[in-house]
Amino acid sequence: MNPEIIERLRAIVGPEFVADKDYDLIAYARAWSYEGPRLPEAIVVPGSAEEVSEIMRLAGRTGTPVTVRAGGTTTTGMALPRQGGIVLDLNRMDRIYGIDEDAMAVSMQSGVTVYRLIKYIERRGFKIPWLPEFGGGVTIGGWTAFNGVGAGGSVYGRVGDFIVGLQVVLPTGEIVRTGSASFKGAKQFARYLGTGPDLTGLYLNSLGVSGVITEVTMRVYPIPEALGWVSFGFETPEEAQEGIKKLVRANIAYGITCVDDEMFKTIRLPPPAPWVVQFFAEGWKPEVDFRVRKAREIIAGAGFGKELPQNTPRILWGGARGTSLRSKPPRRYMCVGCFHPLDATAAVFNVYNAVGRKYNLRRGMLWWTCQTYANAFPVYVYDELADGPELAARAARECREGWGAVGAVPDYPGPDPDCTEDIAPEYLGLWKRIKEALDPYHIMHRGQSPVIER
Amino acid sequence: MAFERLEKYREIIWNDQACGVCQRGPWNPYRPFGPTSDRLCPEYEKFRTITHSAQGRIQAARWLLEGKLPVSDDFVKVTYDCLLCGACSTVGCVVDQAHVPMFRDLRADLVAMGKGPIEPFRKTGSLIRREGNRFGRPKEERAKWAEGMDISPKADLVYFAGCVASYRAPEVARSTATVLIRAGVPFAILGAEEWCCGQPLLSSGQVEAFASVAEHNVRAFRNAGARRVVTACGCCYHTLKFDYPPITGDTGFEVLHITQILADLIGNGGLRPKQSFDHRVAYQDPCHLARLGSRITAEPRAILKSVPGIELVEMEGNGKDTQCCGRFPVELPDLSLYTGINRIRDARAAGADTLVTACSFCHWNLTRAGGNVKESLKVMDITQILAHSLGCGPELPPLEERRR
Repeated sequence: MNPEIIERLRAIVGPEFVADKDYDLIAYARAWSYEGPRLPEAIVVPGSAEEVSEIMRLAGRTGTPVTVRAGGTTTTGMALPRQGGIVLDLNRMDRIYGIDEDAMAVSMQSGVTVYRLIKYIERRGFKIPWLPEFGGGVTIGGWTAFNGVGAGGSVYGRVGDFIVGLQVVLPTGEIVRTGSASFKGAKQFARYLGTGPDLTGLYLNSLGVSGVITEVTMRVYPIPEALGWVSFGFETPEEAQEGIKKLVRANIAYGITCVDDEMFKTIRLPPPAPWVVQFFAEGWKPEVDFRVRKAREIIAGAGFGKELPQNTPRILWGGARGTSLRSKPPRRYMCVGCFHPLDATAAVFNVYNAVGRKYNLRRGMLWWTCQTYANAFPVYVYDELADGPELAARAARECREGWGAVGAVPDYPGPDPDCTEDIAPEYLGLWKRIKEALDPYHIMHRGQSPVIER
Repeated sequence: MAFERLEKYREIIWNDQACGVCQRGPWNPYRPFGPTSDRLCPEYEKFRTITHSAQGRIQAARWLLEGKLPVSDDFVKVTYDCLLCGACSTVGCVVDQAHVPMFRDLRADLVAMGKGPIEPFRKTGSLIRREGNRFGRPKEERAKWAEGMDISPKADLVYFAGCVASYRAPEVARSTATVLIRAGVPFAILGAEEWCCGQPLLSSGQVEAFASVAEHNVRAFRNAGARRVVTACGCCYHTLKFDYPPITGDTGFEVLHITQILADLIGNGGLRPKQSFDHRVAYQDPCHLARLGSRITAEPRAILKSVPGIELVEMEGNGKDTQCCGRFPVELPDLSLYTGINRIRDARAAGADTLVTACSFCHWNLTRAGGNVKESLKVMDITQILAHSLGCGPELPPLEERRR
């Protein structure tokens, strides 16, 4: 990178927060994904939105690509630069501004980890909408840019469904607030306003291409009196799908998750059934008891599936991560995911298994509902020393193709950055015009979504 | 082969997930509300780039093994910025417990290539080689702390004071010896034959020098008739117990930490603390006692709970999830001070007015850190409190005088 740009970056954030030695670039060349190494030219670690703004203006003036990175845990490789330039590491922006207990909203800089946020609000009697299932140093900003999903999604949906508003720095350097705080003097208490479209949505699932999320205000909820659960075993994907559909239709779940026997084997636990559906309910104790009882009645009356013992391990994303990564011999694992309607559940499960069997990959299905649709998020385990990252990328691509054929849509682009061959051209045209307006200098995550890039 | 030691970790290095847990955690997503700290890696907390974390170091290791990363002076310096506290090894990633040995082996490869260690470690190494201690003080002054105590040179149990207690904090060596005497436990010391345990050498990759001091000390223990060796320093304990046998073979003696002996004595009535110590006390679990190989966490707390008047409070980050004290005040002074100050603040946040530890290095670093923050906090070794409670320690000076 031009030494002049480096010097100006140092002047903006302080010399200790700009790194451009070869070993620095290598440290940022991988993230939690099966993407091979992609080197930046410099790493900048800003401490405030104002610093981010100055960096963006400099990048715009000099045509320098900017890739935003927080925890680096999207498993998609979106934290990796595709055309060099600056990696903007947001981890130093980790202040929690405070909680508004009446509005039930907490505001913080985007580099706050989910773990730290949970500790902070728990002490004040609040919880994040989901169960704490996440891996690594996930940050609120990354969660928002990815529009994450997890157990608890039956009620609360995805991250975007409980975001109140954002502060973002545009690729051109302007600092903008979305939500009610876009009005002068108004608090950040409401997402949707009567004055135009919801601009917060430009940043959900944006994966960095729309600008930099620097502050997040998120809805939180009082810790419920009770959390209850019950697990059901099913013999086939088709039975699991029908059982899940009945539970969703009853509208009683806080979360519904599904794992398979392959996941149990991968983390070295005896599988209690080929397909294990976990039903969660939260709320007041009598309410939870009622919902769990109702779930039992529904599956008992279905004519297939069986209730599993209460001590059946509950395997969620974070737990699976923790255990499978400790595998010996050491192995990496990669994730590939899709969103799908409930009636495609069995087909999605079958595609994942067929690809796993084809490449003889240890694997495990992770799956949960998002309100009335679902997110499948299976893992494949591979040996990067023997196989390189290419095998995992190939498996991911085949999974995505198979899922597309049964009506699923990708939950992130995966190894093919544009992921646009199946998107309607009118939609792409609109998105391209928006992108052009947001990022006229074409600096954000350059190369990540070529079809919408100039 | 340029990186002969690092080569052992090739499979781990290639399969490292680059998942980031070694920087900021979480320690455990299903136990987010337990007594774990917001912080994980002290080095990352200070420098705030992935370069300064296990992930960055492992990625660099891969490029080294591929021959694609030149070994520059700057890279060597960064390699030595890690405190080797092992916090990264608690997060349950594919690297499992291999972080600390891997990073030590990387340093040993750098030394073998003539690229390491960095100057402060080299200087410490030469002082140890010259005088047998990390301060370069005369060998014959090593047991000055024991003057007037009439301690035997031979016994079944040998007390290994370590460099810090011998030269810099003799009050800790004296209080340790005093409580053993009060308990009627016969013990010996090695005097001038006690050399540094060698931990600074091993940590910095000076493995040949480490082997030399290990062999010397084991010989000295054997000459003193040791069947058991006890130390009050967490670092020394770990080194003698876990790092000597691979070098010297079976040492022929058991290695104990003083808190194990004292907790036993208190448990069976051999010691009865009586004098009150009316303070809110937080206990700093030394990494080398609580995380890196051992789990000596209950014994120190049992001792503290036996002392009348103590209200024991827990800091965020304790047991195996402890936060490092800073460890290398001479070799990595800035990082060490930064880390120590964070720990002082943890103790204050827990409501403690006294921070107690069971390791000479923790005592040293935390005392130094305590002198650099506004909050007043006593930093003490656990044997000092016990000696006081047994009525055989010196009168404790008032709070202000203890700050340095």
